[in-house]
Amino acid sequence: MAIKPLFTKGPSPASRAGVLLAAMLALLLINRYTPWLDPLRAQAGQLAVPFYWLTHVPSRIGEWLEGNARSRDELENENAALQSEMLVLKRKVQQMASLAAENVRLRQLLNSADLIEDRVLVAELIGVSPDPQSHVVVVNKGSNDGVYVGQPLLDAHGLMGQVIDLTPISSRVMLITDPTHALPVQVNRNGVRAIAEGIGDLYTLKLRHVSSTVDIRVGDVLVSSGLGQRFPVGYPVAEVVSVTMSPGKPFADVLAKPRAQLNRSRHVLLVFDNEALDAGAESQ
Amino acid sequence: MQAPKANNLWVIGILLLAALLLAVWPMGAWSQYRPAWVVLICVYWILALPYRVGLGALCCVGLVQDLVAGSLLGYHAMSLVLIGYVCLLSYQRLRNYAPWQQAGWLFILVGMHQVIGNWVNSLSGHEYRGLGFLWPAFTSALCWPLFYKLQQAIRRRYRVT
Repeated sequence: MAIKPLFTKGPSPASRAGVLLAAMLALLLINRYTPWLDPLRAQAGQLAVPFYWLTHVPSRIGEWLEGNARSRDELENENAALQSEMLVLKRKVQQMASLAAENVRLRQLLNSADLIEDRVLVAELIGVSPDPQSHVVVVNKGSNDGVYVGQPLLDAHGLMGQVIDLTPISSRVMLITDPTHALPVQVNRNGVRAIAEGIGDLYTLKLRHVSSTVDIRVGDVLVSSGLGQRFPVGYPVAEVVSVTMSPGKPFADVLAKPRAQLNRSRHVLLVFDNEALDAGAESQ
Repeated sequence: MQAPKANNLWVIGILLLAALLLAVWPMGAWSQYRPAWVVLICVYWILALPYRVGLGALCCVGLVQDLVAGSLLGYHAMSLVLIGYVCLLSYQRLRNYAPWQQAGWLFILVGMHQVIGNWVNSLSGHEYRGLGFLWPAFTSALCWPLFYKLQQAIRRRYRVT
């Protein structure tokens, strides 16, 4: 019989650390360069939801207090303001209806497919990515609600971003200002096309490769052009705030401010746009 | 010699959950100064109970943080294992340091964490944006003396061994 060891000892910390480090490095690279781990992430990612839900509690309480502790006067005032806003919007919709009808007729003349109205899903923003370098938010709708990777997210003012990660009950959305994000846009006034990329600042987008002779001015509204086959056509993205043409450089520096309130909007819209995208692709 | 009986280890679990929660708490523009709470907790408990908190456990904590923070799987796990290993090698010396010396050491440990983070970020396409990524190391070191006292009080109050 072997002698029973007095001091049992596992592998040394060095070898343990070495093995774990190598394993984690492998995991990291696999996760970065292959899609193999995505299903696992989708399932295990649900673990994050309670944390984001908890971080969301204070603002919920605030909202509840605001909703409950309001005076009758305030409510009446707000009601009146909303009524008048609704009137204004209704008037716009009337015009829209005739314009849309006219648009459809013209498109029929051109033998192109009708633009179908986009279906939307209202979602709520429940969390923000802790990494200051990446502009990613978490919303409370996931694959159970039919959300898919690449789906565009809007708020009431403009385009916010696209879904990059899914779990059954939540999804992570990369904002258009993330430094690794870019989207095709066009100037609403004259249809000049460009690529708007994020630079890691919530209030700035940069237009790439705009040649110095292009007609683009401060105040121009940039709308999504749909050329990337990802975002639907015609949603406002940003407004040009500065155009710097330097004679020494082949391209102008054009900066734009996103229309969407990227750090404020809580209630957001996920757009289902396959049909519209197909129509847009055919008509080009 | 028998190791003392494990006692009240759930306290560490709760502290870790709290740290994870703080790690994703929305802070707006201040988030670049956010101390690395999970690293602080792990470092304290590895110093206090090196025979309880192992590298495997740190690795699991890191993976959970990766999932919660939505970063690439393996980033936090890798840096926690590395930090844990350094702490396991040096805990006997570290325990005898004055608080400010420990804080300096913490700056280096969290700095390692941030450097790995920066590397992972550049792997996923973010460009280098200056030394700002080291802010958490600085704020973590600033927090450390107070944090240490707090953790010590908790450890004694609940007799975690």
